[in-house]
Formats: sequence, C-alpha cells, structure tokens
Amino acid sequence: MPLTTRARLWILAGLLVLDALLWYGAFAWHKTKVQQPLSVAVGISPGSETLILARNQGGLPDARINIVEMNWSSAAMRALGNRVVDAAVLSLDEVLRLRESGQDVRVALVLDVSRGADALMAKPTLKKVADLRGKRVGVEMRAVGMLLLGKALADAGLSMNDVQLVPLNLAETDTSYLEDNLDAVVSAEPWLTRLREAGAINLFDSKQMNDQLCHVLAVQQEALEQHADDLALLITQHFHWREQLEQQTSFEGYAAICRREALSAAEFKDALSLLHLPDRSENLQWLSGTTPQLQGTSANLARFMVQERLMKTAPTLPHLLESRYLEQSR
Amino acid sequence: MKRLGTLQFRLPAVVFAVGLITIVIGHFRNLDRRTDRRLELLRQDAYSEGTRLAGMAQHLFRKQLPRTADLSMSYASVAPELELGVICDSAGIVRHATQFQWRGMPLSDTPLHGMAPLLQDAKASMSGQVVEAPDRQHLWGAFPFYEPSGEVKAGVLLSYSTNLPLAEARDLALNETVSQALALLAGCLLLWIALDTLIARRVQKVLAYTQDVAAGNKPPATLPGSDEIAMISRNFASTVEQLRHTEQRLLEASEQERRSIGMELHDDVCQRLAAAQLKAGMVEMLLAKDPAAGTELAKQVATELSAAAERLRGYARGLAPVALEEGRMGLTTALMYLANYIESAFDTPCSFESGVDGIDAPGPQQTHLYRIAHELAVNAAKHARASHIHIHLDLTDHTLRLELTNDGLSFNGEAPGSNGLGLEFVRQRARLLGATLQFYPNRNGTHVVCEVPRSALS
Repeated sequence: MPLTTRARLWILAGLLVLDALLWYGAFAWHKTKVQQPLSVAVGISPGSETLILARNQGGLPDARINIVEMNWSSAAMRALGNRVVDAAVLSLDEVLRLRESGQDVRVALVLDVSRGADALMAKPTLKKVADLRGKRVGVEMRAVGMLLLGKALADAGLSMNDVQLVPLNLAETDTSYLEDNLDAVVSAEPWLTRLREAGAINLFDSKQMNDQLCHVLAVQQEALEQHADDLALLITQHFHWREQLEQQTSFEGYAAICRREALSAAEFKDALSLLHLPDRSENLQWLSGTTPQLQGTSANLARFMVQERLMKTAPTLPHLLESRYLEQSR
Repeated sequence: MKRLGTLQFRLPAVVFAVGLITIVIGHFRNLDRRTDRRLELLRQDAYSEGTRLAGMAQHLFRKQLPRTADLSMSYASVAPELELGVICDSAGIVRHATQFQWRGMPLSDTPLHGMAPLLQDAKASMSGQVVEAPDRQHLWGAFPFYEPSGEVKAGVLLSYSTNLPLAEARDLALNETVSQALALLAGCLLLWIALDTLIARRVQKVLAYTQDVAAGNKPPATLPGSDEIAMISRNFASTVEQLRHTEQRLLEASEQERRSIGMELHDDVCQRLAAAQLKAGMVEMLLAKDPAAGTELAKQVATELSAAAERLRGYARGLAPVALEEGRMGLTTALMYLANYIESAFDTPCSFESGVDGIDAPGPQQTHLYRIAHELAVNAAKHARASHIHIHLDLTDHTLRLELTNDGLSFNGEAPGSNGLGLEFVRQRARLLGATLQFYPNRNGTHVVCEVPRSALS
C-alpha cells in the first residue's frame, strides 16, 4: 500500500533526526583522554600488605590499578594531596589534615585499626611519659605520629611545648633512635619490632586511643566515579588476602611481604597481631548506615586535634565516608 | 523495480563500501602510526627517567640518603608503564626498588635478572641504553652511574611494559575509526535521503506521466523546478504535445487526401464516365438509325473512357507508386510517371531528367523522396500557375540531389506562415531522410533542392 504524504513526511523527519544523531556521534565519539589506571600509594605497614599481596599474586591487573609503594605515610599523604596518585592508605588523622587543607578526599575502606602497632618508644631509663619533659623526641611531623604523641603527652599532663621535637620520617625512626641520640621516638610497625630489639621500651601505644588510630583507603573525589569498578576490585582483593593473612602464615607471596617489612615470618605475625583488620561487615558498620561509626570517631578526633593544636580548624565532615564501593565489592 | 537494484540504493551503497574500505585501510595505518609514536614516547620517557634516577642515585649514594632514594623510586613508579625499577650497587645487590620486597636481593633473584647483560653493556660504555626486551612486550633501560668511590659502577634498571601504551594506541585509533564510520554512515544516509527526495520520487512521477500518456489518460502537470528532471518532464510533455499535434495533423491529412481523391473522382472521372454513358446511349440509338454516325460517336465514347482510365491510373500511381518496388530503377521510373501524371492531370508540362542510372536505397527512403517530389510538383501545378515544371535527380560523390523548378509564382517554403499540411509532411520526410530542404524563390519562379547524404542511404 503506497504511503500517504503525511506518513512519508514523518518517515523523512525520522530519518533526518537519525542522520543528525549520527553526525553528532561522529563528532562527539572521540575520546580525548585515555583512562589511566587507578594509582594507590601504599606505605610500609603490616595492615597494608593485603594490597601488596593482591598485586604480587595477579589480583590487580596493571591496566586497572597501579600500586605506588611509599616508604612513609606523610609521603603518601603528600602524593595524594598533590594529585600524584588517586588514592592512598593513610591514617584517619592524615585524612582530616587533607580535608582541612581543602582536599576533597573520601574514605572508602578501613584497612586496619592500630591496637598497639603504633607506639611512643623511649630509652629504658625513662619510665613514663611525664619523664619526657625537656627530652628529645623524634616524630614524623604532620602525620599520625604527632597524633599519638599529642595524646600521650595530654594524658600525662604535658604539651608539645614541653618536649623537644625532632622531625624525622617514620622509616628512619629505628636508625635515628640509635644514631641521633634521641630519648624517644614515635614509631610504628615494622620499625617498632626493631626498636624493641634495640632495647627501647613502650611508654604509650595506640591501644590507649579508643580505635582512633586507624588506617583507611582515602580516595580523591574525582577518582571515585572514574574508577568505581577498580575500587570495588581493590576492596574485594583486600578482603580476600585479609582472610589469607589471618588464617595462614605460609603461602605464596608471604615471604615477599616479610621481606618488604624487613621482618621474619614470626615477627610479621606478631606485628600483625597488634592490628585489628575489620572484615566486610564491620567495615559496613564503620562506613555506612544512618550513623556510621567512623563519622563519630572522625568528629571526636578532629576536636582533639584542634584542641592539641595539631590542626587549626576542624574540617567539614559531610560526604567523608563512601561506602558504595564497599557495598559493590564481594 | 526491486529496491536493491535502484540507483537510490546502489549509489549510497557504493559510496559506503568505498568509504568503508578507505576507513579500514586508514585505521591500520593510523594504528601503526600511533603505535610507533607511543612506543617512541615511552622510549624517550625511559631515557629521561633512567638518566634522572642514575644522576640522583649517584648523588644520594654519596650523601648516604637512602630514604630519599626510596622516595625517588616511589615517584618513578607513579608512571603506570613502569613495571619494576631497581638501583643496583656494584655487587649486583638491589639497594632501592619501586617494589620494596626486592631490596637487599641479588639482581639475579629478581624479575629483572634477564637485564644483567644489558647492565654490563651500559657499564662498559657508561651510557644509558633502552632496548626492546626479548618477549617484545617490554622496554628495558639500563643506566650506569659511579658509586661514591668514583671507580666502581652501579646501575639503574627499568622495565617498562608496552601493553598499556599499545592498548592506548589501539583505543585511540579505534575511536577515530568509529567516529569516521559514523560520519560515513551519516553522509550515506543523507545521500540516500537526497536521492530519494530530489531524484527517485520525481523520476517516479515522470514514469507515471509516461504511463499515463501510453494509457491515453490525461497526464498530470509537469514537475516544477529548473533542474534536469524538471526539464526532462517539461521536454517530455512538449514532445507528447507535438506528437499529439502530429497525430491530429495526420488524421486531417488522411481526411483531406480522401476528400481530394473523392473530389477528383467526382469532378473528372465521374463526369467523364457520365458523359461516356450518355454518349453510349446515343450510340445505341444512332446505330439503330444511322450506323455511320454511330461509329463516330462510339469512337468518342472510347476516347472518353480511355482518358478516364488514364486519369484513374494517374491517381492510382500517386497513391501507390508501384514503380518504387521495382529495385534500383524504382525511383527514376516513379518520377517519370509523376511527370506524366502532372501533365495529364493538370495540363501543365512537366519534364523529368535523371543523372543516375539507379539508386541503391531501401524502398521506404525512395518512397519519401518520391512523396517529396509529388507534393512539390502538385503544389507547383495547383497553386503556382506554372507553365512548366522540371524535375531533376542526380547523384554526386556525397549526396543524392532532387531538384524541382517551376516558372510560376515564387514561393518561399521556409518563410514563417508557410505551414501547409502538405509542406509540413515534406519537411518531416526530409527530416526522416536526414536530408536538407531549401527553397530558392526568384522572379522567375521557385527552385527547390532536397539533398540527402549518401551515407544516410543505407
């Protein structure tokens, strides 16, 4: 049956619209930027070895995720703040410092809670924190060490002004303690093990900090949407190797991470015991729900840091937590 | 017409096919170019980074700043293509690495153990080298530097994966190809729409017009516009109009010819036969009374009947010149009979002269020439009041020439207004022969020349 004029006009209009769409597609199709892998800065810490294991054992394809190993946490913090990397494993207080400086970083995962893996170590002659008055204390400035030192001093009725702060990096706390004649250092595993071996004693540690000292996966806001699937993969792999670490002490790749930490297998196991690695359900409690646990922890920590002048102002905390990728992970 | 066989489909299909082939060829060339470019960029990055790290390592070794060296390696590993980088001392022990697990290990125990020969070469020449790895999926770079003693040599080793850059090159090339293919598809669709709107539908209308004409229906209006199809439509309508006009004129000519024959028969032959009949009756009576007087009258009757028969024969020859069927001599014979007919029918002296013995031409062509001569001679006899008409036929190297001359009233057959039906048919016959027809009126009468190219006489 021949088409009516009206029908022909409609068909012609439809074809012209389709043609316009094709022309639009031709000009708009070209991708101007190739997707780069999600770069994640990871420091040396037993709780972060899950990510290293995932990479070494092929769970994180190079095309999707690039693990950038950094020796100390302030370097990782700086790399994230300067957008050299898309994400980093930082302590919660370091995340708050970045937020205070105007960086929109979000917490996507809690890797570990320090329960003794961070400590104020001192010469055996010093018995308590109060003995540090006027002493030389080595600490990594503007990093988690300052938080622990501030808490220790506050509990002992002291302030930062009562001690001589010696800036150093976390990675050199063990050598500096011995070589630079320091009375005390704030350090963390794996260097704590070497400090103990060197005779230093524990004056204060993260067990006394109400789980405020935790390591999280902090992600730049721009990277969240671009790398949604990659983040979900990273988190999935973290939980997989978390289980392996908790259940086994000998598997393929274990020797490599012990080498990385410069610890023996037994020492690594002991160091790991000073960290609590939350599983997936506990992570969901920390990050999601109407009152996520980490939201309250962050608020309290921010208040403390402002009070102890570790931070000038408390940063705004809305949208701090991102549980979407945790929920997408398996 | 099946859709796949139409120009509307074929033209865009051909354009699309050719365009697609061009795009595919262009894709592979673009891919090669991008791949080469990307690998070259990677090579340059390797040289740059390796040189920087070697210089930094030399300085930091001397200053004993191992943490700074670690940090430099960390920042080097931000480049996603760098799979592994190490700084080895002169003993082949990894001092710093982008993956800390290799620190303190011999190079031979690391994934870069295959680069040892390259490092040796670099140390020997003290210049950085970047080569393609044996697996063809990596670029290896070796960059030597001096340890603090200034005598022994250490080195920086970098292993870059080429998978990411190649994937990037493939991705970009494919994006460009898809973009071009979409543009090609859009262009071909636009072409199809334009062909449909501007040509196919309008050609359909012209076809419908021809079908209406063939069926004898009243054809619709011609297509508007000034393009080729509108011109075809208008020219076709004009041709149809001319054909209809000619058809009408043919019918009129046929009618007129019948009337002319009828009148001729009535005015001449019938009168003669009537006179012969009367005389035959009188012969009957006279033979009964006076046989001698009857004989004279009988002779007159015979004469009248003979003249009538001759006249009838002339008419018959004019309608169906039998001589034309007699081969080469047909036309000359027919023209001779024509001259005789003119003389007898119109009492006008008419002569015929032929410069040829015979003409090798098909019957229809000879018939056209005869009819031309017949019409011109009858016109001259009827209307020009000529006292003499001459018909001349000649054959030159290039033409067959038919001339007709009369000394009557001059007549310019080419002048506007000379559109008599007979003259129009003469012109049509001349056109059919491919001949020229020229009139030369003068004070003494009219000279008409019809020339047919010999090449047209098949």
